[in-house]
Amino acid sequence: MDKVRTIAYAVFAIALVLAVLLSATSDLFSSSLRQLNSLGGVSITAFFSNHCLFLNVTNNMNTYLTFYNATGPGIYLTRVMRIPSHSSGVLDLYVSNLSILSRPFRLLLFLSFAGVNVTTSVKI
Amino acid sequence: MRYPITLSYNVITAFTAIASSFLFTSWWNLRIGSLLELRDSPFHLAIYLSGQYLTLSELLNLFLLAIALYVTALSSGYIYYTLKGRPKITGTLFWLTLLYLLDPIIVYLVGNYFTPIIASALGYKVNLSYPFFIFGNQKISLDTNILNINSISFNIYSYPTLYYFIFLTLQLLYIPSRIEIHVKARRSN
Repeated sequence: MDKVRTIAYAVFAIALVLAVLLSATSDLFSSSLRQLNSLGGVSITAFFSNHCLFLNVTNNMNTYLTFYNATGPGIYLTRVMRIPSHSSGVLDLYVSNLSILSRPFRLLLFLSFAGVNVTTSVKI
Repeated sequence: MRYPITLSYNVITAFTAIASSFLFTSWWNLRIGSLLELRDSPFHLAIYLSGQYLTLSELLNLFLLAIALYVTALSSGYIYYTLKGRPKITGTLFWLTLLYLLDPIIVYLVGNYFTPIIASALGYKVNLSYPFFIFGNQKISLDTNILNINSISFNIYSYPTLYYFIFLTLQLLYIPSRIEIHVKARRSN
């Protein structure tokens, strides 16, 4: 190995150690973690009451969340709901053929946020 | 001056490493819907989530700066060697620059072929439909059973900036530099 390459490796090693020390001693590491924790996500809870299916959608992201529809065995519900960032919305959806449902079942939900479409499911 | 091309290449490499860390930091941009945006060069990275700059980028940039300093130190040393008539070059930045063109192909292979195999080994189902060589706008879809998510689809927008083409053109000087070193070494023997 030539002398220059050895010096370059030494520069790299020192810079790497300084980077580790700087990130450990400064607020950078903890503030990165704090920021990542604050980004949040989406939580959905669903329950039946009489003939109504209630969906509580909480949006903890920094963007609008659009709820499109929910499908399950024998049910297909379409209702568009836009939930602003860091707020929640409740959907009460009337289900006419509730008697055919054998619980527990999975309800498929179609959501969209910031140009990303997601199909997720909740167990009821 | 016996090795003008090699000397120019070493000067360009030292300049590129420092310049792409602090000045011309965005070589390639990648956007996933309006959710995630990455602006990067080999020695700098900026991540935006929902338009919000992530501090995590600063942390990663400290480590990328270490690599930039390594390339700068190496090229500076090789400038000295070349001036002394013992020409040397490093191909690190040349290959890193070319890797940007190969990146979409690597991601295509990893996404479509390796990810489903690794996921199924971990007990998950992942089917990714990632288009070959994204250069512009493409739709990506993913079928999975991770975290109660059944499917995800989004548009991905991937494009190089003018800086990338400038630095790619400059880095192509690596090939004539190698030829110059080889030819002149043979002549002197």
